Amino acid sequence: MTNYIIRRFIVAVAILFASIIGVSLLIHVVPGDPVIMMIAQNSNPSPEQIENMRKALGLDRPVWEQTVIYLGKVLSGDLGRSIFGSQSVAMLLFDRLPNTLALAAAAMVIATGIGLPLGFFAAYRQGTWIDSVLMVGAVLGVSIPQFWLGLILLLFFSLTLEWLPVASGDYRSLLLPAVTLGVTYSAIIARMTRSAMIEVFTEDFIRTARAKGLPEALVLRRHALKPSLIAVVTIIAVVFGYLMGGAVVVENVFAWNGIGRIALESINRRDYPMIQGFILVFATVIVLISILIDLAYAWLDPRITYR
Amino acid sequence: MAATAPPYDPTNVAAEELPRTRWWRRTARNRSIWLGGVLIAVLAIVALLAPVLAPYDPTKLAAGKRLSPPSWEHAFGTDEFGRDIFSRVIHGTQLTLYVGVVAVGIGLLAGAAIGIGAGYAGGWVQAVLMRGVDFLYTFPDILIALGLVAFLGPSLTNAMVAVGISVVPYYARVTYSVVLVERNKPYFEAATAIGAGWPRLVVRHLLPNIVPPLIVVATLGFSAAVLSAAALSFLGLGAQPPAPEWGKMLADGRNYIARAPWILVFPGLAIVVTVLGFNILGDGIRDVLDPRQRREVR
Amino acid sequence: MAADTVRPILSIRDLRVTFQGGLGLAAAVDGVSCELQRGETLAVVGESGCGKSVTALSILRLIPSPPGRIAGGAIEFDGRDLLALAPEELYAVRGNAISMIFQEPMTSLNPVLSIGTQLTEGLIFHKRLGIREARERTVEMLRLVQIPDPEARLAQYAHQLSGGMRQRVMIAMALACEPRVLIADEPTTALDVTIQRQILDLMVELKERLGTAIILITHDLGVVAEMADRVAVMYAGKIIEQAPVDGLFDHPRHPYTRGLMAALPRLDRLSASGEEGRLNEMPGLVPSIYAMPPGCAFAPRCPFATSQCHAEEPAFEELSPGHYAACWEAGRLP
Repeated sequence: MTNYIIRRFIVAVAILFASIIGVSLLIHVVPGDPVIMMIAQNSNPSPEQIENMRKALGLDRPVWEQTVIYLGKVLSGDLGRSIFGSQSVAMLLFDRLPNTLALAAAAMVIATGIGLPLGFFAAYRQGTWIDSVLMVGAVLGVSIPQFWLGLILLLFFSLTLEWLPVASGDYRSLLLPAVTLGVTYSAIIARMTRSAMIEVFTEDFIRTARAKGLPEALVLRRHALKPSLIAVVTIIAVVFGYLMGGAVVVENVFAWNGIGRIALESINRRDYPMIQGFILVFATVIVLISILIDLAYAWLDPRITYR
Repeated sequence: MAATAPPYDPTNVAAEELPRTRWWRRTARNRSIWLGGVLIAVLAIVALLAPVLAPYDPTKLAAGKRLSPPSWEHAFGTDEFGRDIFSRVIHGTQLTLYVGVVAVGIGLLAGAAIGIGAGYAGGWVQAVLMRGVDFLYTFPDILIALGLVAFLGPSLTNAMVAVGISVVPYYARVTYSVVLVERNKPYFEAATAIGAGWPRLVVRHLLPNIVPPLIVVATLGFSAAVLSAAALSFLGLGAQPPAPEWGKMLADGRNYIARAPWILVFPGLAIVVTVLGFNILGDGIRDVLDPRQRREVR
Repeated sequence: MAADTVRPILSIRDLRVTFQGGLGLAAAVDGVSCELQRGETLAVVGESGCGKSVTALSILRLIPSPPGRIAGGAIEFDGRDLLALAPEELYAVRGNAISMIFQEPMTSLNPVLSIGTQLTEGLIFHKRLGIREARERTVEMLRLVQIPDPEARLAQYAHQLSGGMRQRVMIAMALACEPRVLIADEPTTALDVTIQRQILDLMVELKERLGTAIILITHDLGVVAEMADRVAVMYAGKIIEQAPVDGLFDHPRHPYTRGLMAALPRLDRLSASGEEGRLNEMPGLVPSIYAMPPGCAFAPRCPFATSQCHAEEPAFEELSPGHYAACWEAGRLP
């Protein structure tokens, strides 16, 4: 078990290194001089200014050297400085990261809270009209763009009914973005849960439990629930990745102060150190979540032994 | 290793498992295929005939008619520059389908090439290619697309390419898993032994097995690509003004939605209809092609 | 031994089970009637797809529905029609008065619950035992089915046991509440030959100790010869011959039964090897349940078939005491 966790961490670190290297290469593969792109937007720099900038960012050195230097800095917790206002990238990102995580967590709670029971119910009533209605709803749900749903909710609840503030920064302003994300991903969760459940319901051991004389509610709760939790963990793992991606978009609809919003600002300002830092922080979160999910499997499924 | 149960296992899709006649009969009887197919056919016709169908120039400004509500003259109303939203939505169909086709095309071609290359070559080629695919697969598509556009710069072309690259892992993984299955079948060894060249093997034996699952992934992937591209445009990283791109229309109109909700409603509905059409069609095709799924649906 | 008992413990009358398939509605069981006496072992034999498992599952109403449906008939147990019971009454019968063993011990045990949980829950539910008493009783049962170190097994999971062990656990589970009827659906098919032997011996021993009546579903005539008191032969959803085991083996009356016997190797090798004891294939195919011939379902494969056989369905008649068959030509067979 310990060995497995260690191995899993090594893979995680490899993924993070790969993303750092990938981003460094990308900066150099892209046509155009990044320095000119970065500062030309805002001013008319003199050649010396450009040269100074290049030196300051270390862009005058070969690609591999830059990458090694960046890696070294990352290991000591330094993600560089924003080219605007020269604030620490790490500080800026970690300042906002909790907001994004709070949004993702709230959305996940809503998505599973709606998606799991509906998917479970549709599978249990497989082939009936209830199942059909739920699944039509789910297809509709996965077809709605989040930013559009977000705007509609904003229009309806904040602008028309004036129930919720447009932007305040407290928990009330978390509600709409979380509902936006949660509702769209609940549709995906419902679809996945349904097919996973249908598989569990047709297992021989469910028939054994029924043959034993257990009441249907007990058969479901004791015999179907735990095996299906394993499937559910898989589903949550898949959905969480998507949800983090969706959060980046939805933050910008609701002006929610997470890292997705800094990311867009930085992209628009070509603030490469910020973009690089954002990608690294985001990748770290995703990789850590996937490790947690793997540990959840071990806890749920006695068949899994981690060698 | 952790036992992961993928919601959709592409190796279960194989054309040879079903006799062709039953395949067609099931296709013809499948309501999802009909519904999705008709929706998409209508969209394609709208896209092709957009210049004829649109009553106005989608980019023509009319300062006097700013934010006028839906009327006989302007079925979907006008936007903040007085442009006819109906005409813009119709022209947007062209852009959306174009973006979808290019993005899916990139994903499909690159993914299939990587999958076949990795599966056929084996060894370090396979290791490098598939580790790369796994790496991309770790991250949500929209993040990859966003990261690429961040460096490529905002434009519709760049957004298309970025979305295309972000979905390569799906196609590569599906192709690779089919190639692995086929490569271990006796005929493959026999064909190699009698000296059949690999292009022939790929065309005669691999493609017929790879195409059905790829059709499913590509149809459902079209929806995802349209959604990602619209999101990028919404964020200002895709289509640039005055292009009548649906996501961009929503972004530009967002400050006026309280006064003119029609700006918000129609482009959004257009995206929903398009994505819904491909999702329904993809579900239908999967039901027909995947025997395991069929048993579940019954 | 069975003939003098007055009232059967279980009687199935005119059972009909249909399945809604892609090609239409089909009757998997079509008018099956039979009785089980107290303490008796009734073997039900036939090729796969003949409806024997569906019949067995119907008794406890375990047919997956949809697509299956019990379309008619009655299953009387202890004076009550099981098909008419309310859910709570049905739960009280399942696993308590009537229990069942399935073919696949691997998939029939829940992989994520411990053996102990799965064994005790029936006792706790039906006999209202406390957890400790239930565990004691379970350990006793495991000892009875000859599982070594039973206390330690309770904490284990299905994947940690061998195939034979799992089936013993299934038997212990089925017998825990001392049922009056045990339905065993191909209990040894998934096991290898030596383990089959042990499991069968175990069932005989337990039956004698507990006095349980057994319905044994099998396609292994070797097992039948050894275990059964009476045999029912099924073909295409119907019982086509039924007789005491000796009568059936000595003088089979239905051509299909004869076909099954003829396909057998020498009797003295039967018990030694499960493989050779299996029913071998006869010429022709079982008719699809979606396209039944109008007369006798076996007529298309039958060497003795006449025009009457192809046109009319034969009645199920008593040909000698206790020996029934449904065949127009039964009296004229060589």
